[in-house]
Amino acid sequence: MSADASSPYAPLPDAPKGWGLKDALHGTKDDKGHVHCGKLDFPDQKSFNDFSSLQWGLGGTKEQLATLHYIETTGKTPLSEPVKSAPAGTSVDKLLDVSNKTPDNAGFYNLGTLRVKADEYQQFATLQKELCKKNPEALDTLYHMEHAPASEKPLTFRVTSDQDRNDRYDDKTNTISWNPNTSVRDKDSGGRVTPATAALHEETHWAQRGRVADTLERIPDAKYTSWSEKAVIDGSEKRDLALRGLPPRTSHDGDGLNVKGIDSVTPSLTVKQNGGEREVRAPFQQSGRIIEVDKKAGTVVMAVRGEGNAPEHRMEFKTEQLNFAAMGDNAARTNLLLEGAKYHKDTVSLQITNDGRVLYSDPAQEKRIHDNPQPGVEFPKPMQAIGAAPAAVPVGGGRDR
Amino acid sequence: MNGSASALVDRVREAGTRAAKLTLYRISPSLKTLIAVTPAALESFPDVRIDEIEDAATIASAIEAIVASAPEPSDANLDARSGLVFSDLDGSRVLAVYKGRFPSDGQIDLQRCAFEHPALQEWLDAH
Repeated sequence: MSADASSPYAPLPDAPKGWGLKDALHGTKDDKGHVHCGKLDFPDQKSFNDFSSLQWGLGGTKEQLATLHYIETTGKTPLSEPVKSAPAGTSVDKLLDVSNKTPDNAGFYNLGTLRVKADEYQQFATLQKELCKKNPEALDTLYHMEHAPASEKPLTFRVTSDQDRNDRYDDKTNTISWNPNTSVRDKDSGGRVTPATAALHEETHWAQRGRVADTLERIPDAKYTSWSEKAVIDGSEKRDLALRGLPPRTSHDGDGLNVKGIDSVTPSLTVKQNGGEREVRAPFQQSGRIIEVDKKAGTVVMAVRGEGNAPEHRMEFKTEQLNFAAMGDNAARTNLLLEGAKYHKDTVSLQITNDGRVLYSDPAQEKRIHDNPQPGVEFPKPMQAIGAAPAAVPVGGGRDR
Repeated sequence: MNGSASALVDRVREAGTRAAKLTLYRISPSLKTLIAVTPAALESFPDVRIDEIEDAATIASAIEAIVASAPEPSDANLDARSGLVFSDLDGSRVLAVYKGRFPSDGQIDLQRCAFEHPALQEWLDAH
C-alpha cells in the first residue's frame, strides 16, 4: 500500500510490479481527438502533453505510480474521501482550548502543530465551531492540523482582510490564508461556497499534502484546473455544502463575493451615511451623482436625491466592499468609468445583484459604450431606486468619517 | 499556423515595437487557491512578486520568447501564475501576456491561448 507518511487518508493499493511511468503515460487517441490513459481522459493532445511532461518530472515514485494506476483503472479521484476520524472523545472545545496558553514571542497561539495569531484567534475559533457544528469531518481535520508529525513545519492559519479575496494554501510556507467575508460563486453551476466551507477547502489541501497530491496537482482538468482541486471541490467541499443545504461547485472558476457572516452566501456591502454605517444585502441599488472618488481611501461618495422635496444627501460606499474584484477582469475598467463619471457629473446607478455582480449604469457613458462595446462590461437597463430613501443630509455637509 | 494564430503573433510583434517597459508578475506555481486566478487578480494578488524591466534587449528577448512559444487561440481555462505586461513610453499598456499553472495554458490580451513550445516558460525561468 502507498501513502505519504503523514497522510490522514487511507493508503492506495500499490501499482502492479513492473508497471512504470511509460505504462502510466501511454495514451491512445480516439476519433474525437481525446487522449485516454485508461480511464483518465484528456480532451486534447495539449492537455495530455502537459500531463505527460509534468509527470515525467516527478520521476516515478511509488506514490505517484499508485496514484496514476488507481485513477487509470478506477476513474476515481484519490484523496476525495473523508480524512481518518479523530480519536473517540475529541471535541472542538478541547481542540480550541487556549485557557492555559499564552501567545509565543511572535504573537501566535500554538495548538499542537497549528499556529494561529492571538489577535485572529477569536475569528478562527468561531470558524471552527461553525464548521464542526454541522460537519464531523471538520472536527477530524482540525484534529489532524493540531497533530501533524513533529518533524513537519507547523501549519499557520491566517485571517486576512477585505482586500485579500482569494483564500489559499501555500505548501511552501505551510500557510492557510482565509478571508471571513469572502464567498465564491461558481461560474459553471452558479453554486456558492460559504466562507466557512472555503476554509475547509484550504484545510483539506493541507491534509492532502504529499506525493499523492503532488501527482494530482500535475493532472490538468478542463473544469477543475487540476485533479488536486477536483479532489477537494468534489470531496470535502461538496459534502460540507450538502450539510448546509447548498449545491456543489462544478468548476474551479468563479468570482469572489463580499458577504457578512461566515455561513452566508448573500452578497452585501456597507454604506456610510448620517454618521453611521449600515449593511445592505443583495439585491441593492442606488442612483445618484458621483461627487467624489478617493482611490486611496477606497471610497466612492454619491449625492443621492431625497424623497419629494428633500435635499440631496451623501452616501459613501467603501469600494473594496462594493467588491470590484467580483467583476473579475473588468475591475480596473469599472474603476476608470467611475472616475470618468466624476467629471461629467451625470447620474449613475450602482447595483449589487443576487449573484454578487456589481453593476454600474451611467447614461452618458452607456451610450458611448453601446456604440463601441467593450467585451465583458455589463450595463444594466436604467434602474429604478428601490426601498425607502435614507434620511436626508444635505450635500456639502461634513463628511461622516 | 492558422490565421488566428498568425494574428496573435503579429499582435505580439507589433506591440513589441512600442514596448519600453516590462512588468513581470509572478506567484508561486504550487499555490492552491479557492478559485482560479484571473489575469486581473494576478496583478493585485497579495503574494505576487513584481519585477520591472526597462532594458530594451531584455524586453526584446521576452517578445521573441512569446513568439517562439507559438501561441494558438484556445478556449481552455486559465489559472494564472505569471504575467508579462508591456507598456510604452507614456506608460500605456501595449500588450499583456499571461501563463497558467500548466505549461501550455496562457492568455494574450483578452484572448485565451495555448503555447505550443516552452520558450516563454524558459525565458521566465531565466529571469
